[in-house]
Amino acid sequence: MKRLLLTSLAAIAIAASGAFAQQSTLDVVKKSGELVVGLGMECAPFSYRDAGGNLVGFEVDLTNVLVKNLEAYVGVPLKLRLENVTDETRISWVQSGQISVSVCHCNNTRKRQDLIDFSVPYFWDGKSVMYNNAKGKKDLKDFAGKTIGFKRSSSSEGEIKRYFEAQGWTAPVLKQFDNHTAGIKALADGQIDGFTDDNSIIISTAMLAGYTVGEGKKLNLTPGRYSAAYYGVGVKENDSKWRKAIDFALHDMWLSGDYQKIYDKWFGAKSKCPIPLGTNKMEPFVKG
Amino acid sequence: MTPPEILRTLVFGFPVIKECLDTAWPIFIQSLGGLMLSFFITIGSLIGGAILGMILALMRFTPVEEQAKRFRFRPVVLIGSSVEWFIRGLPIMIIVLLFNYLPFALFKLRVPGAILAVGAFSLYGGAYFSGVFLGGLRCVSSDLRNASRVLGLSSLQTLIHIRIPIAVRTMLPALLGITVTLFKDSSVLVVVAVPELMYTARQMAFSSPSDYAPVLGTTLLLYWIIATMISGLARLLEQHWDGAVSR
Repeated sequence: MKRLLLTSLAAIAIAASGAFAQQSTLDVVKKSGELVVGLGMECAPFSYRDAGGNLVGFEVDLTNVLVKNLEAYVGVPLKLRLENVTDETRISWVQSGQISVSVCHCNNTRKRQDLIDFSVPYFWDGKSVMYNNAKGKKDLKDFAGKTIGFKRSSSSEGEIKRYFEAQGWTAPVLKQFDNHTAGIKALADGQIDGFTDDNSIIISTAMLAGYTVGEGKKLNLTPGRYSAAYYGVGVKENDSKWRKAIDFALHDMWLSGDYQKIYDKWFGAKSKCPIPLGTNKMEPFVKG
Repeated sequence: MTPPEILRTLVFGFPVIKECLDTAWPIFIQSLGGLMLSFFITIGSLIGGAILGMILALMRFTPVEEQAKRFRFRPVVLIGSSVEWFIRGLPIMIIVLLFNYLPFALFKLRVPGAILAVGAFSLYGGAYFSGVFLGGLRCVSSDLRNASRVLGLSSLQTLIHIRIPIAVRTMLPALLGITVTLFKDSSVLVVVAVPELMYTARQMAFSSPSDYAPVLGTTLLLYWIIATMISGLARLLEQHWDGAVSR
């Protein structure tokens, strides 16, 4: 009787371990021949609908090249499947495996590292505060105790708090906005003193909304940055095999020159939001 | 974008992205967008909610004759009431998020967002419908039924001429009220990127921020017009029946 009990327990344990064994996303993708990419579709210039309704953007072009480059590392021809993700789902769906990778302008931060892993950065940026030029030039320090808007579920909230704390300045009053467009409008109307998020996003949103950005223009950015921003492709936690394949595919993109072409199209001198490649230097991660 | 373009996109949604389509599921549902998808979700959840609501109401309903026996243990009533109680205590947002997360997390089942949305809203609507149906079932007193039997109507005739008309008239305004709520609440689907009216509006407003105000204005008008039309219908029906009673 006892032996029977032990045998059945062992059988259950083996079956359970088989069922819960972590399968690498690489094998899942190889088996299905389908790369499921979670793409946000409402953030210019990374991924958005143009006037004709087509899905365009830096991350859309990047995804198309990524699929081609990945074929060499997965070993089978890949079909691209897109899943539309939002700020609520871009991390949880990677965890559940509903999407193989998430390409959704997601900052690699210390907090998010607990939930998922990130590839090498595919976009480098910083976070400054945007302000209305009418009241004169400002730097980060001038925002002590002032009202700063940020976008819901953005990493900027914790980071700017920590930065002001570390500098010993009065903490700014943070006001949450559902989206960048609403925040920029509120800034232009004078409802808030500043608005912050990744510079590339706020500059292009402001310009698309019809405001001018820069020295002596309607809106301007503080020269100081309180945090760096590294966009990484989100992959499942502790899946080194898969992350390596994504990293290598991104390396290949850089070596073949595809990356520079895409970058030039969206952030080059002739684009709406010019950010010269290479001006962003490596900065340490901010705790927060 | 020009105003006609904005209106057309809000009503029919953005063009479908072919990489998003799942051929294992009906394509026409996945090609719906904008206001049309909001309609589809409202109508789908009305049907699903009515079925679920009826089941829950029948489970919870105790005929008048049995209500005297107060302390009898009735497991069916208990189950029906707890399901309804549980769902009513949840905000629609969490139901939507769970519906979009659990099927894949548990069963590796890939289901299009529009279909999951209908499921989530059927569950949500079902809890509210069951209360209304229960009220409809209870509102015809046994005295009235006995009276019609005394007058010589068969039980089927009682059902057709007495019970159903009274129950429908009691329930319909409330049912249309729930329909308006379902239609408006479908806007929470923005969090899971189901391209219904509100998500389409957001996507358009963020893709071309210069159109922010006209897009939000048009969306507001669309929601308002449809909601007003449904509640207007409820009021018309009520007036119609009031007239019929006083005649």
